[in-house]
This record gives sequence, C-alpha cells and structure tokens, in this order.
Amino acid sequence: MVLKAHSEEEIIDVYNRNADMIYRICFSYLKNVVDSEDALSQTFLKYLNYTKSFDSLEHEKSWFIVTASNTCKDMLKQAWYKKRVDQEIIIQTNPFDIDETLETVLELPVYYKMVVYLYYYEGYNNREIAHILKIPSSTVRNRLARARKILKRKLGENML
Amino acid sequence: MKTIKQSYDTIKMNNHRKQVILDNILTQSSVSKEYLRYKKFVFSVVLICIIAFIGIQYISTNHVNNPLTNHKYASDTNTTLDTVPYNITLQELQDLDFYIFANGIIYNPQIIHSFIDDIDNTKPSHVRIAIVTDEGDPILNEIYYHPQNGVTLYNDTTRDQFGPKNLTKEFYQKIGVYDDAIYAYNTELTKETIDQNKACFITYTHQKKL
Repeated sequence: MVLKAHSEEEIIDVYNRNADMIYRICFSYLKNVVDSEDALSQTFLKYLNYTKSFDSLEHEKSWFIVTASNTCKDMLKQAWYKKRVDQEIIIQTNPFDIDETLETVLELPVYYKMVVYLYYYEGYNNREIAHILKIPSSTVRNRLARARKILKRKLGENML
Repeated sequence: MKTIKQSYDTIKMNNHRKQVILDNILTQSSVSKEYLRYKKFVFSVVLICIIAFIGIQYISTNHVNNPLTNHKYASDTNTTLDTVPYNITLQELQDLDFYIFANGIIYNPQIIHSFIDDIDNTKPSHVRIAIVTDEGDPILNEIYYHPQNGVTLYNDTTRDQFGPKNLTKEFYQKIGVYDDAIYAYNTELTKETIDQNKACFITYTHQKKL
C-alpha cells in the first residue's frame, strides 16, 4: 500500500470537478444550504484522508457520489440534527428558487433520491447506478419505478 | 413546469461560498499531510516491531528445536575428548583432571564441586567426567557451561565395548541439580521432565548442592 498526500493543485482540480455535483447531492438529502456546505466540506475531508489513487475520472466521480451520500445519511442519523430547533428557519433561507418539481423530488424518501438524481440528472443507466451504489440492478429498477410513480402522482407526466 | 433535470440545475453554490469552502479544505489539507506523515511513521515502527518480534521468535524456537545445528555454540565449545588416548588407565584419567565415578568410588570430587560452585555463581565453567563401567571401560563426558549460551554436552562411548561406540554432542539451555543429581534441561527441571527424558542426567553431585 502506498500512502500519498494530495497536492494543493490536485485538491483544487478535484474540487472544481466535483464540488457542484456533491453540493447538489447533499442539498437533495439535507434540503438546506448551511448543512449542504457542511456536508461538502466533510466529504472533502474524507477525500484528504483517502490516500489511494483513483483509476479514472469516472472512478473518482463514483467515489464522491457514494461518499457524499454516506456523509449526508450519517448527518441525518445524528441526534443533534434531529433535535435542532432552527431547521425551519434554515430551510427558509435557501437562496435559489425551489419550484414544485424540485420540492417534490426533495420530498422523496431518502433511498429513492439517489437513484432519481443519478438517472435523471447524471444520465446513468440502471446497470451503472447499481455498480456505483453497489446494489442489485433489480433494486435500482424497483426504486426508480416507485419514485416515478410518486412523481407522476404529484406532478403529472411532463416533469420526467 | 420544469423537468427534474432543470430543477436540479437550479441548485448551485454561490461562487464566494465555493471559494471559502475550498480555502477551508486547503487549510485542512496541510493538517492532513502532517497526520499522514505521523501515520507513516507509526506504520513503519509497528512494521519494524512485528518483523523484530517474528525474528526473535524464530531464532529462539530454532535454538530449542535444533540445538545441534546451532554453530554459535559449536564453534566455541570444541571437545577435548578426542585427544584422550584410546587405551587409558584409571590413574591416567585422574592425572588428566577427570572427575571419575568407578564402581561406587569417586576420584577427584573437588572437580565436580568446583563445577557446581561455578554454576551457582553463574560463571562459565567446564568439566570432564569419566564413568567406568562394570567391565572397566571408561565412558567419557565433557560439559561446557555458559550462563548466556547454555550447556554443551559431549558423550564419548568409543571405549565402551558394549556401548554404541560414538561421540555425540547435545545442547541444552540450562543446568541444575535435582535430588542429588545434575541435569541439563531446556524448559524446567521437575520430576515430570526427568521421567519424560526431557532432562539429561549428567552425574550425581555427591552431597554437593547448589
């Protein structure tokens, strides 16, 4: 095993490549800017301690998708997060326009969000999503079908 | 109404905030490098300790299991028994400073007493013992004792017409007295180890105790 520290240039490159995607994933889980930025920082701290090298840019992207998702799930599980009283205020301070479609997507259960994001935004197919999330392809299909059903019921056919 | 893709596109980080977060990450990065250096150091130390531990274990096991192949002991404890003439009388053995036990009679008892004193004082020592059989043939033994290196035993039965007629060498880690007899042994000297032939009988002490 070769332990390798990341250089400053490497960190900046990786940050510029992945920050927006990680932020989007974190926001879809946490639904507010403050926590999403916190989750983005935490994800990159994990990257700083990750000393193995990536095989390709696609491998790097997959690693960040999974790590960001896990970071957000961990945050959601924490007791302080569940008990915090300022959550409503924080949600109201979101700077961008949250329309009906985005609001419905954000309201989806946690385990549907990731497959919806990867399928509709990143453009991955079922097999690729299964590979990234390390779950069976059939599970991806089921989750997508159920998420689509919820979205269609709330938004109609056009939003897909 | 926006599509899902268009909705996700609206989630964008403010450029100023993006730069602030990057700066924080870069600050953390230098701390992380220090941590990594520390991790490498600890990893190296642990690795060296493991290798040293395995090496020591291997060497010590090898000593116990293969004493005769250990040249460290062989090189500095060559026997002098092969210089003793083949046909030798009891008087000549006495003159050559052998401790002799012949048909219940002891000759040169001071030699074994001095050897036991040396063991007691953990001082390197050496003794030659001749045990004369009922037929009058001498079986010669030579013992080298060193507190750190252990005990090397030579046994020469070439003069015993009913014996195996060979010169053998054995190595043991310790030497001690049990029930008025001297034994060489490796682990511990108890009645069980003596009964199980794990301790090698050398000779009787004849009232001299450690």
